[in-house]
Amino acid sequence: MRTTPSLPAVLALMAAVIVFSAAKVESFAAGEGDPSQREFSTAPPGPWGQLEYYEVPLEFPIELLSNLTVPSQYTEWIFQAATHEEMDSNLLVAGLTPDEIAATFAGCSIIQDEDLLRVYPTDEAVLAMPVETRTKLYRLLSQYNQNRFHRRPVYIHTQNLSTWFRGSKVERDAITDVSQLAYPTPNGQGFYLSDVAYTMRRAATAIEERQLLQGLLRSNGLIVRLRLNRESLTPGIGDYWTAGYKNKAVMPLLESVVTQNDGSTLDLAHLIPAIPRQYLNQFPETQDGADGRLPDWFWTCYNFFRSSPLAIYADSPERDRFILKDFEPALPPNEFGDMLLLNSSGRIIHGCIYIAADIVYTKNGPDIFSPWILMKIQDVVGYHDVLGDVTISTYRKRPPAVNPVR
Amino acid sequence: MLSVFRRLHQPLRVAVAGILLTLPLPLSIVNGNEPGTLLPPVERTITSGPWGTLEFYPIRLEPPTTQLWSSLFNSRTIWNFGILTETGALAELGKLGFSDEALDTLRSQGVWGRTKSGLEVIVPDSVVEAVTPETRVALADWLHDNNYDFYNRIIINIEGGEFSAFTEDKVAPRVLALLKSLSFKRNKVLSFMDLPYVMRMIGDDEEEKVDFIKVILSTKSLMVRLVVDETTDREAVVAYWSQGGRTSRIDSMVRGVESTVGVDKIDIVHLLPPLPRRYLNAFSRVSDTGAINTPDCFWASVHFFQRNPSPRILDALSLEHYLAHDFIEVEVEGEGEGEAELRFGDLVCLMRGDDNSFLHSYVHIADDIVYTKNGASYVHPFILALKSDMMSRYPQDGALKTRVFRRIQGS
Repeated sequence: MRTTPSLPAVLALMAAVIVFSAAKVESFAAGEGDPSQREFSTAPPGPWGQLEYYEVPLEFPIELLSNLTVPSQYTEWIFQAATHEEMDSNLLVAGLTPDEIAATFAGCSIIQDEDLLRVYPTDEAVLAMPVETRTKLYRLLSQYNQNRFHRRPVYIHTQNLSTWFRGSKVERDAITDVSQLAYPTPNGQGFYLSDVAYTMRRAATAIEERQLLQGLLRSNGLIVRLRLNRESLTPGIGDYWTAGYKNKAVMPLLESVVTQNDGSTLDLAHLIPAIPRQYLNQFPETQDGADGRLPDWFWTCYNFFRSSPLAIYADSPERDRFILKDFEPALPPNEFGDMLLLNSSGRIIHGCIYIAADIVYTKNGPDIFSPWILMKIQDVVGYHDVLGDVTISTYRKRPPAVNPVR
Repeated sequence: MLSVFRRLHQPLRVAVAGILLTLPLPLSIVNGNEPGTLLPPVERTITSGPWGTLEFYPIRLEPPTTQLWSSLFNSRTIWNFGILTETGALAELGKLGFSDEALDTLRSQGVWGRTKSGLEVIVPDSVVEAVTPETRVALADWLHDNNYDFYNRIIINIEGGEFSAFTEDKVAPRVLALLKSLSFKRNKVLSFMDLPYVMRMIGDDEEEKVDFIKVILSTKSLMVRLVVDETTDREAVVAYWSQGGRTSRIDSMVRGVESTVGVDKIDIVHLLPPLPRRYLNAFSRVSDTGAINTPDCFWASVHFFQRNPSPRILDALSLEHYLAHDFIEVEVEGEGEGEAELRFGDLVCLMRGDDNSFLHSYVHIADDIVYTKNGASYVHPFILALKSDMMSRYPQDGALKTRVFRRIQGS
């Protein structure tokens, strides 16, 4: 699934940005109809049955918002460079031309901080930067851990900002800023916003500030439902969700629903195992970190079928041993419960659990701001593929040795 | 019905089967979710109140095969009399209404012996077949009072108090007829104590035995969905289900439905706190058990707002130990002056009226819907249920006293 940004792709992305920056915000400004309404979608049918889904924007709990370090409204870029020359050299290697560097850094302030350079560009430079320049510069900044929102930008999966911000309390001026500052992801799936700091100037009060952050930091989860009727319910569908007895036997439940409510839908939460059901659409809470750290993607994947979670994480020394012991590489088609690993630059950067169609169960970060959600796999890739080189490999949990749950 | 369940806001509840088209409800409510597809009416119920509008219908949960322990398949009828002697046991059975002929048969053909768990007798078929329903009731009550452990092992209370779960595709008519002849009513509870006899009558068909056991141990649960439409008072509904912000994702969920064309309800699994969501419609696992106990009704209800289960709840301590500091006891409607209504998440304890001992606990969800686990057995799942169905498992005599506990925020 490696995506190499070709020239046509870049042009297409630029065209998309133009639409993103202009048309959709204009429609927002004009108050067109009811732009915040959307319809539910239908997934392609498959062995999983007939799935329908819609999006729910999950707002970060307001009671936890005080845990977030509010960024200054002044944009700061941090370079791991001891001198200006070293910084310029890095910028050139990242693909910026001398003209782009001159325009972007004109009038900026630079503070030398040990072996770091802290750059404070002008507002004009931040706002007027061409998409192409922003993409190259922010890709470089994403490699320095200190640039929090470049390393982990806000991911916007749609061009329609009105839809994306629906129900939030983010003011129109801030949304307009976002439309100018967002840039396409390297693989063309959605957009990134790294200039969260710039938008902070739109918050006049502390409350507005929190509302803005809440709006920017929310995550879009999917509510997925399996449509059931007597004609289409086959043992194969039960087998799919039972996943070779790694999951509970679901056929009695499906039959019971069909008997009582033929043609209705069953929420996917009833079909996934107990642990992912417990955490679905939840942000981590203090208790989740009682053992010293919060769950991350590997904790989420490894514990998907377990009846009680094991404390193991993406950076645990025994991670790869656990993968090899409990999983085996698998080829398509993916099956319910498969672990999909996202590889970038020769290392695993994320993992999620395949559910059905193109839907996965994921926790996109190890922090308190990342809930456990159902997402489309292309959005998970878009979210994580900062360098544009993600490939996916599939690992399937080995069948249980004893005591299958029938 | 207990007075505690009367409420200030009288809920509007309608059974929708058969009268759907006469109700001023959107077609989408009639047919599931989406407008335009007319399907046969189904047994669904709609209830409205401070919780918003809920639509629910029953489902049946059968225990997975792995939850069925081997002794369920025993085909020898054994009764246990604890510390009694054979003579004493026969005397007690005589007082319970056993005929002289049955007692003679037991004396002459029964195989008596003392085991670690007490005096046991293997009961001849002719005795099993001769026991009248009244005598079965008397025997069940005697065992309840004198040998409670054995009572819990032998008595099965059939969910719902009727036989509708025993459909022909699951239980053969001859077996159902046998079951009916052996079952007996205690108050509103339909009970059965002769599983070994039925196993023996089924014969060698292991699959038929498994099917029968699964059905007789099956539990009625509810699929419950919150209706979100143009009449929904979002703020009020979110306030009800959030309980002061404890479940702060409710607003997102409701808004998500509100802003999606073609969707007008959400499964309340998304409105429950994490732990009940984990266990909903599921069964206890070995990993849930402690040294001396397995999760039961109290374990399920006291953990309702907790993020993770605590092994301490399985220890044999008093209710007060668990409730005194993290909960406040509240007076609910009908229980005194200035009382409040039951709220989402309230822990309700049912105490026997005669000796104030604990009988059962559950969590109030909305209207007559509760979250409960009816007993510590591995075959009893965590469910959403109507109180009436829940109580069909509890054949207590006399009035019950209700105590309501509300978790203190932050505890």
